[in-house]
Amino acid sequence: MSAQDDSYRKAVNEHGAALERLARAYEAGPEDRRDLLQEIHIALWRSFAGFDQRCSLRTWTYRVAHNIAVTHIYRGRRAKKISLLSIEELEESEQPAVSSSSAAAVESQQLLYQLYALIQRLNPADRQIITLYLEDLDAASIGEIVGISPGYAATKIHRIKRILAERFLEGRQS
Amino acid sequence: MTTDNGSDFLRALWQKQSGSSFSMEPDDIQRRLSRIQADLRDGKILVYTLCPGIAIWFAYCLTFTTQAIVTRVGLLLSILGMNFWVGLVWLYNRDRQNALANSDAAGQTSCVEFYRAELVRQRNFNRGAWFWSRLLALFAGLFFTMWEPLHLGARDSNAPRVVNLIVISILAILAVWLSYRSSRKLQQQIDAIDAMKRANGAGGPP
Repeated sequence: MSAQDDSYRKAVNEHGAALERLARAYEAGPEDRRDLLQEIHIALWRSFAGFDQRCSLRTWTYRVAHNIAVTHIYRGRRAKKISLLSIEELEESEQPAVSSSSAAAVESQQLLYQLYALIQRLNPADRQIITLYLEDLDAASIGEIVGISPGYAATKIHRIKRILAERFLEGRQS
Repeated sequence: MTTDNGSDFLRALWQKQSGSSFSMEPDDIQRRLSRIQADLRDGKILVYTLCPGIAIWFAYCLTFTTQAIVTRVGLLLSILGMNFWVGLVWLYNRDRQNALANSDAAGQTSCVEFYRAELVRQRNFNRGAWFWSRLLALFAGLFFTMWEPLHLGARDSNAPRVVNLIVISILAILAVWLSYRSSRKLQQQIDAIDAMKRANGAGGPP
């Protein structure tokens, strides 16, 4: 077994579930999501041929996955013509509608549907920050993956927290 | 704090999601990769056969059929316009495939830089010298190619030619407007990223 295969297997064991959540954050349709997930796995395996361990396995895996996902949605978006928002624009926009099928689901499922609907409206840069935040990464790690300063990442995270609280939990309590 | 409690709850909910445990074995990846590369090769062969085929057909019409000089100019411009178009699509795909084929670059490049490069590729597709060259050549070619046949169809009237000019002008204006609107939107996103990078350099958010 080559070092490339080893690194790939280790990345999938440690971050496989996160990659699935990431794919769902980028693609709403099950088929598109599966295509994206396959593309990420293929790119990830290929990328490990050049993995020089200058960054952690986690940083490398997330970078490859997010970068491939961005290319994937832009390829699809030509046909879909969705306009994507920044976190700041999202704060002022309307809450996305939840489909009737999800309304019948349990509350946590509803919250997840709403969360995904909200994330899928964001532009890639902000979508990367919010998904990495939800994966429990700190500002420094998010900054390293996305390519922004930890201070800037912390500011964005603060805004994300406020939006999540306003959009989901205050609505839930009321 | 409510905000932290709320987002912590969502974070926990997010991480609790059960996946379908999707996985691929390296051998499986290699097989799929070979299949994808074969499909890409087939697609390229089809395009590269079709395009010269059309160009040869036009060249034949231009050289061996008795066309008026204005129709020949029109055909020549149409060939040029199509070549510019194919050339640009080829360059766009080459850049994109280079970025994807070199997958380790996706691990070495930060997400913001990678995203910016994608936006620049798309913006360049919609504006610049390549855009104007294909637009002018294609629309002028279409106009001149139709000049003589329209005259033959209505000998005593210039109305069909005027209608042709109006239709082509509307299509050209629409093409320019759509392309520039699209490239302006992309440029706004590029500017936002650049502003973010400048703010990073200054050590804080904008």
